[in-house]
Amino acid sequence: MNNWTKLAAAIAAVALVAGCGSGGGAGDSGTGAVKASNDLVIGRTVAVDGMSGDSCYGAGSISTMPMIYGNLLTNKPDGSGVQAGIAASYDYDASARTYTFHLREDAGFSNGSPVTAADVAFSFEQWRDGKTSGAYYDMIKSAEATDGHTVVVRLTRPDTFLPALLTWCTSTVYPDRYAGKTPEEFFAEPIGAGPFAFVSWQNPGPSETITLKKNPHYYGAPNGEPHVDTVITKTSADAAQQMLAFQGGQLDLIEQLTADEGNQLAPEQVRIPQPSQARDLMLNSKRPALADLALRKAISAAIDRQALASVQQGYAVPAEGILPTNVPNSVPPTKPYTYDLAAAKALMAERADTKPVTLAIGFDGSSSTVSTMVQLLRDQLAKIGVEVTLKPTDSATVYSMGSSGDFDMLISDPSAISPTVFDPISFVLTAWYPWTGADTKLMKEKFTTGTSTTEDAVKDAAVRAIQDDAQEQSTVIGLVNMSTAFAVAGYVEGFTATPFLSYDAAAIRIRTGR
Amino acid sequence: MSPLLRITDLVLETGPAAAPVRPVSHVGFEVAHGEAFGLVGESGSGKSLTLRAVIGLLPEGVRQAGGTLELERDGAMRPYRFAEVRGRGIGMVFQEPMTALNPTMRVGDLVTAGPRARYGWSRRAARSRAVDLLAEVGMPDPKAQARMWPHQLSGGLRQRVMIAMALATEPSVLLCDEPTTALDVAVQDQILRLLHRIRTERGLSIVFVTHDLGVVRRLCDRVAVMYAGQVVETGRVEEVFTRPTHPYSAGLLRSMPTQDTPRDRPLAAIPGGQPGAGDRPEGCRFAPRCGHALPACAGLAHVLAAVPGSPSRSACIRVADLGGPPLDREALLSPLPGGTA
Amino acid sequence: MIHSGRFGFVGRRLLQAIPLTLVLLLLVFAMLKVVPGDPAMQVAGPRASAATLQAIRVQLGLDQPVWEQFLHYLGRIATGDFGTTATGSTKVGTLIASGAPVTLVLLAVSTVFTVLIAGATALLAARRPDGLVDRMINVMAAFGVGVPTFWLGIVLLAGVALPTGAFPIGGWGDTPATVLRAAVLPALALSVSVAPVLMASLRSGIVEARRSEYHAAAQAAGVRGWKLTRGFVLRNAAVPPVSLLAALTTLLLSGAVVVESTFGLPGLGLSLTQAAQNRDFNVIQGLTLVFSLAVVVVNLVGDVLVAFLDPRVMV
Repeated sequence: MNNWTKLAAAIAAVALVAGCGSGGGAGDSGTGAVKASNDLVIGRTVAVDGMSGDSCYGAGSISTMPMIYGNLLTNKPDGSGVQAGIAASYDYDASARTYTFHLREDAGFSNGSPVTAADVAFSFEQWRDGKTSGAYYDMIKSAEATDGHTVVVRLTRPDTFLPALLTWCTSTVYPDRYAGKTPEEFFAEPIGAGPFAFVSWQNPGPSETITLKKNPHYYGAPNGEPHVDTVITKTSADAAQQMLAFQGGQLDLIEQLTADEGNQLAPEQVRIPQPSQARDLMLNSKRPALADLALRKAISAAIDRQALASVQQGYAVPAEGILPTNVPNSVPPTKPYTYDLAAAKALMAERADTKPVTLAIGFDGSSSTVSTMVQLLRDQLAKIGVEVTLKPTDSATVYSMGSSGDFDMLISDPSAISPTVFDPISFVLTAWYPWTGADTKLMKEKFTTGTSTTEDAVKDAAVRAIQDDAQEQSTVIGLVNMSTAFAVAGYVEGFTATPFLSYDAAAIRIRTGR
Repeated sequence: MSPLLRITDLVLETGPAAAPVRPVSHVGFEVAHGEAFGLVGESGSGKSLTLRAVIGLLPEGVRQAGGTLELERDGAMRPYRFAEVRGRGIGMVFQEPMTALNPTMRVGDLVTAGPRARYGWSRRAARSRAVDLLAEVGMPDPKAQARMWPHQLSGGLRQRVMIAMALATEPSVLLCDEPTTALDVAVQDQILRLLHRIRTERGLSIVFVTHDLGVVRRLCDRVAVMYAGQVVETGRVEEVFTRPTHPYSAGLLRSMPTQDTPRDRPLAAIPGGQPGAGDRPEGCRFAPRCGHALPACAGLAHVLAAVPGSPSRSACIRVADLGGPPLDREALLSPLPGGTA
Repeated sequence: MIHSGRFGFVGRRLLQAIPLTLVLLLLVFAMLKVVPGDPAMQVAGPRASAATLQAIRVQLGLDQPVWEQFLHYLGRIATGDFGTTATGSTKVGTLIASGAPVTLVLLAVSTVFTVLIAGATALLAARRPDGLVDRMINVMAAFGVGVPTFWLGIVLLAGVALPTGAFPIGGWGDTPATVLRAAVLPALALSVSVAPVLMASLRSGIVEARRSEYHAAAQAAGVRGWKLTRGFVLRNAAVPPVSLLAALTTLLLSGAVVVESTFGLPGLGLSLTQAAQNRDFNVIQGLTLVFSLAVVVVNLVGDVLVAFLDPRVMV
């Protein structure tokens, strides 16, 4: 036996292991394609934050929570508003400051128990008291089950935001008193009234696998929903590997598809919803140079947003204002952004102190689109004499730079996750405005107006005022609006991509050829 | 005595094939059964290379370019392949016991590595044979020492192990490449005694390469003197040492210090130095330094010829029967003392 | 064969590991406190109110003085409580328990591949030093070291897994057979960058051994073929590579992070980078502990192996 034999043995071993068993995957992803088994395998790059609604924060949770748990209200597929969920209907009494929810009678938890008003009342209390997300529910004073399928919710103040809030992934309906388990036990094996029941959560973390199976007691069961038997979510950190897995038939659906990935696929495999994610530039007006409004406006005028959008060709459009578009009540400012280099230079000359300016920009360096955009920005701002130094870091540092005020410029993406523009507005109001030193008076006032009225015209006017005010102050500047796309295999039917990060998994069918 | 090993016309080359350098050219000698044969010369004479060539263990870059190597088997002298005779017929003892024993093997395993590979000895048989062999070479505590590592033994003991390793395969010829050079005199003496005893007990032939004439005198029956890659004289040890037949041998012997050598005068050295492998002259290579050289020496082709009145053979044109004007043998010898130490 | 001296050696080294690990934990802890980034904000998001963030900080124990936090942490570790992830959803102990086997299998298979590749190529190269094959292997070795692991991973996925269907395109398995199959390509990507270093060391050791007197002595005694290579070449040449391999294993460990990311493997390396991005203290500390212990053990095993192989080494 010599070295050749060793080498040959090694190769033989590998070949043996490789040869055992068939390869993976269904057929090709063409339109005539079928998949052998009636299960949906989803790929994503963001892990869930946990199995409780309270912890729901990232894209992974936003997608998974509604599959397991039911919501009282859900998003209309076209994103134009809310529709019935476990709550068949609701009434709002502004003067009494109460909401009355009428629950449907056929909703059932995966353990067989029907969903009753007691469960819903219990859930309201959990949301209000949640350690992480409880603050969003501060309009809730109390919730009471008045009969088996009616819940009355009393508010601390007039509020029209609640219906939208109820579609959020944090508004998960739990069995009353967690079906007799401790919270820890319950969330280890959650029981929800959503289309799918929890089976397992393996290797929690960046490479986790979540397995769900059909919930026979789901209220959509009479319609045959959900149509697939099993949902398996595979999380992976590498987008390129996910693409390959999709092409090899190991994944049926990819969430959060980027432009680079989408461009590698055939057009019929990609679903690009309307752009609904804003990407904004923050200018710290507490810094000496940026305290000058003329500089901030000059910067805004000098940005060629079309060029920035072309970085993600087909997946991004130039922004008109600071807020995400294609979200109900989102309206552009009176004067959308224009690219005017001459005006920018004029503004630069109007500054009180005309010294040359050097600014540092912090951003998430791990995102290639952000990095490319930042470099374009640098070149564009150089034309008006603003020198930009790049400071790539990670998202945690970007946030901490923001909250500590230790920055000149930052890039961030406040995105919408519910059918109302007041969601990202609240984000700007509580975080970015204070961090950039903007005056919050007008925004606060308009936010309250908008969230306490039910009239669209009033809401629209309030939003427009907010957009104009943002332009005036120019501490938060809109850059582009982006879509997060999905990759869909040919045998997947019934999938509708919404502008938000969630979709109705119950409506999805797999063409099995049977 | 019938011949056991015969080397004929050995040529070793190194360097590019177009312009080779020959560290050893046309070397030949014969070793009889049970005979101790010395191969003597200064460093650079090619004696070690010659020995390694016998068993085919030439260093990298050196190759055999000519000559025949024959071993007597089944009553006839036959050329052999190295793979046949290594560990079966020919054994070798190396110079540096420090480096010649594998530091990662126990002494006992090392000694029997050859026969286990060659004859397929079982582990158990090997273990007891190892102890026997170590006892044969005079190790003071064979059983314990068989389990020891080489670095735990002294130089003399290591050399004994080396010898045991060479003996393990029951060779008929033992090649010894300066086995005592790296040892101090007292230990040297022991090893020589050992070799002598083994030779007698086993009836081995020995080819002993050394630069130490005294050792040759002690151990060997016959000797070949090498100079600059060639054999210049062969003969019985007593003959060569008292009545050398080549000016080089005479000069060597003269320069050896003895008890009678006066201490207040420099040793009688041969003027000049041995030419390196690259700059060897045509004809007799010793001629440039030889006090008895003639113009004819420069054109002399190398041949070992019979010497009238002596059993030795010589390459000197003036001593051997080669047609040169004879040299007074007395002149060659004086002032040679009557015997060496 | 292993006498008491060697047992004592092992014991002493394990004891040395304790202060080493403590210092490492302290260093990591200090670094985490200095680095910008708020764990509470990573949990709740930047829009969370100050009150929420503060509440989360209290829950995570971040409101206590730093030295107190560290001592409490040490105390919990001593009882085996590694805490939970920042979102509170998973115990760090569970995270480690589920991720460790993955990373371990990956490292084990990589080590095997590394040894096989290095061994085979070293023997090939050493056959004729400075010959054509030797030179070619050296060029390939330079390529192997230089090629980025994530690129190689994608190439393997696209060029081997996708067309042949013989290996999963990323992801792990759930039975021993599927696990091994899933580990092949990632382990290969990992070992390609590390094997050349081992190969170079082994090759020069082999060449040196082949030129040695003891090799010639063994040949003279009739040992040849595989027995000669095994007993008089590899055994001697293996000593430096073995200690090198121990050092390389730590390199494999850091390479495992990249490979786990590229192939989507649920191992510890990826958990660590994610935890670092999220400033998840408990996970970072827990994994640091695990990794430092792993490095200590690997080096220890390497040293013991060397002592085993080379009797001249005194322990």
